[in-house]
Amino acid sequence: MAEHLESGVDISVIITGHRERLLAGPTARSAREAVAHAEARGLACEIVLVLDRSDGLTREVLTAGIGEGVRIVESDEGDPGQARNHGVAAARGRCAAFLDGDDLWSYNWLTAAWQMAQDRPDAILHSTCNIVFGDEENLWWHVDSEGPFFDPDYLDWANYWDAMSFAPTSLYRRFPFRRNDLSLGFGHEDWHWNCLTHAAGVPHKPVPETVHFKRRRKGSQMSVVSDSGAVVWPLEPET
Amino acid sequence: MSDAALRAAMAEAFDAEFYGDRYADVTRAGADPLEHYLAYGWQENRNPFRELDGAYYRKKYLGDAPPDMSPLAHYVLEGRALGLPLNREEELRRFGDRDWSALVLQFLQASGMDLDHVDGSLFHRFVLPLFSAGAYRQRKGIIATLSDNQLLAQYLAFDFPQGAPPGPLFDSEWYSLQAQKAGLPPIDGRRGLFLHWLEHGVASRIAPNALFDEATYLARNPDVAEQFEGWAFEHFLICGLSEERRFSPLVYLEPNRTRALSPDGKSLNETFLTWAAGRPAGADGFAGMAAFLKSDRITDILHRATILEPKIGRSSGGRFQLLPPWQDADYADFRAIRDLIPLRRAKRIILMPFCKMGGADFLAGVLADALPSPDETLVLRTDQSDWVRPDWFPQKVTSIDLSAHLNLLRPDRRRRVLYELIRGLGARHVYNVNSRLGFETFETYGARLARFTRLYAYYFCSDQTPDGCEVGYPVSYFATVLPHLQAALFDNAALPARLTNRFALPAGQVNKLQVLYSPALNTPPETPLVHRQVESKSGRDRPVLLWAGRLDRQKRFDLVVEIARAMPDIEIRCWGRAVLDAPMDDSVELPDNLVLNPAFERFDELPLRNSDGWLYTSAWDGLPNVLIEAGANGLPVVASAVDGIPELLDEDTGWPVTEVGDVQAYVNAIRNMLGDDAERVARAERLYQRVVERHAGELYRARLAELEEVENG
Repeated sequence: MAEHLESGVDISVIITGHRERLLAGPTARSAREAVAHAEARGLACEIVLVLDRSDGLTREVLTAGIGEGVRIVESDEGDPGQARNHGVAAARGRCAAFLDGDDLWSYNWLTAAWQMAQDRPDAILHSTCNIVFGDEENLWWHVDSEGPFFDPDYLDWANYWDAMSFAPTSLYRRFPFRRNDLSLGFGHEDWHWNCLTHAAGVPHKPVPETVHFKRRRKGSQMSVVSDSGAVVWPLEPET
Repeated sequence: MSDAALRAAMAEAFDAEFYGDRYADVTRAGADPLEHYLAYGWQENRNPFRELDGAYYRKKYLGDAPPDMSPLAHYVLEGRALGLPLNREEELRRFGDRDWSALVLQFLQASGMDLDHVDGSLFHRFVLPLFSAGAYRQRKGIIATLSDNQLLAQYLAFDFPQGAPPGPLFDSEWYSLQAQKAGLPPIDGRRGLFLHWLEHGVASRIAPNALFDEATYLARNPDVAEQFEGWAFEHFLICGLSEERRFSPLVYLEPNRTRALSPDGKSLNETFLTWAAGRPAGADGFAGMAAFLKSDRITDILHRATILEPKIGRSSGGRFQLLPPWQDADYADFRAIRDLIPLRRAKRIILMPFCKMGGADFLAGVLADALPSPDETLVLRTDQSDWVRPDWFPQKVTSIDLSAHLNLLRPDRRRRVLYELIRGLGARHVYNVNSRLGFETFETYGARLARFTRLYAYYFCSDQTPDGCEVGYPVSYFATVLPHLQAALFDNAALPARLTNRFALPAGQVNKLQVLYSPALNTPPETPLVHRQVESKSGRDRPVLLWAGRLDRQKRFDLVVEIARAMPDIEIRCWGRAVLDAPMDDSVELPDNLVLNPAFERFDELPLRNSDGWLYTSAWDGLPNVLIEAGANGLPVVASAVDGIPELLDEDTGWPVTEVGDVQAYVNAIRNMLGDDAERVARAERLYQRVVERHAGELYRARLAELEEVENG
């Protein structure tokens, strides 16, 4: 029997915490708000907190902010993709949703994504747009890989979607994230993962009327990659 | 008009004083303003006189003109007589000029159209700017070389009366909805939506494109809001499109650098709107985006998120709206460059800086010729456009110049583009033959490239600065590139020996250093030509030596002059021109027994049989092709014994001069060579034999195949 049937959990919320410290507070509250919205509509949610080489303050903030019922997974990876993999391994829900330790969801994210996943269980779901705040301020539209705006060649050049996706947990198990190696100059694991899943025929689709809020900080890993001329990991067999 | 008459007409229209004042660099360089304009200035979009905006004129009128026609030439041949606007301001000023519209109106009414309710000025204010010759050509399948003006005439005569919109910027479906919403008179199906818009929509200021947002246009372009009294959409059509002004709250378009070289001459705004119009399904997407941004839902989402994190709400109005890939100018540049290459896949890529007259350029051709399956080989010129010797390359090889586009990009972006090209083309083998960008890319991306392709780089010889410092690619790009290479290729053994010693290379790296002796271009004659030279020497008044090379510092032409002065009893015939250094000063007086000719095209066009030997004076070198050619023809040779040259020329095969720069040493060697016919024949024959054995084309091909095969195994 599938694990989620046994557990009765619809959505596993996987929050990855590293060293976000007090910035993790709004993240925890945001997760709670989205879970409450979903639970009020009859969905069963669990929260899995992956603390990957996390410091004490981040742990305290996240555990306090999320409150009761959180399941904590400790890891010593120092790698966001591997941390997500640990979360997926612990997840008991039919679907899983990732939240990075300093970002936020719109309150309706889990509910809207779940509803859409009922129609498109084959797809990986993203927010309609990301609102970037902090040291950069932009609004990024998430493009539908099945829609008229999608240019598959662009996915080779840059990333279309970030890692805070929603999909059946089985899909995350089928396509685990690879370890980052930014020193070699290859881009983030989520870019590679998006290429890999897209190449395998899995669509990436935005969920209408939802938003993710992405905090941008100077010196964050994202800034390091964009400055280093990062390119996507090749999917071709290596020589 | 004859060439002379055209030039005279251009000279008359050209304003040299304006040009000199406006472009101080031309004045500083002491160049003649008109000469500069005709040679370079027009291509750089400089203005030949105050009113003629070069960039505007080219984009507007020269789409169908021959690629070498300057705006000034077009202006004196055609533009002046037609009274074409010469800049945007003039175009705007002429809004009130109804001549053109009146003529069109008259023409259409004469052909039976009822246009009583159409304001005549609308033709030049809206029909003309909305007309897209490119889209019309595509829609009608017109491949004949009709000019844009001819296409416009065809549209007005045949399509406009049928109600067809003039171009993709007019969105019929969108306009129909807006007209209904605004309560305009019903649409007459026979007259069509476009005419309805001219009759009613314009007066109601309904923009016929969902993506144009008047409020955004005025907010983002305050000069329009302050200074333009008409309808913002009209300003957008006349100016905003080409000036790449922001017009949509949904999408931010980042202008890319290579768009000026785009063959269709479209601005980024036009490109985007045409792209959007080509995706009817996208209309729902844009409508959904717009609706979401105005919805109660996002207001609620932002409100609740801002309670959790007040920073979110701090500047929600100032954000750019980014719709990938339109925010990414680098990607647009990459696509423009990728589109220059007609192949989807290329098994092998040869990178070269340019093709001038140099030995490395020649060797790139030799390499292209020696590699198998030339139709799967792509030659990319990365640094400059020169393509002087296409005959050095096999016809089936595809050769593309990327330099004009690449040079518009930032250096790091050039490297990224080249990396992505190599990856996207699926190249299995990439050879760099002196492309600087190739070396830079190997340096930056070599570790990544080496994961899916095999990299090779040729190193020929170092250069020397006037104060004797060693410089050049073997100095700059060896240590940082070799670890990523499958093989470093050399045309002589001296350079790899020096590099091995310098960098204390371990065995694994030493094994990558491969010496491939370059083949001679032509099939050697069956008998060494030295025999013909000796037989014919009585027919010459005095002995004749041949010299050929670049008139650059490295080749020491100054030594040749001194040798000629020291040996008035011989004649030295020379061929060459400066390539890397400044041309030789004309005031240098050459001795009577030295004749300097322009660079030769083919080695066998030289008077090889009616001469007595070859002279080579280089101060440093690899293993020069010209000596291989001399050896292949069986010529006796006196040459500087530097770097790779002694591998070919020693006391058995010629007269090497070890005291480089010592005129007397060369004189002595020449005297020895000319003084003993038997020895001259013997050494030239041995040189000939060495070239035949070591520099055969089959050997070169076999070594290359071996290199590619070894790694496959």
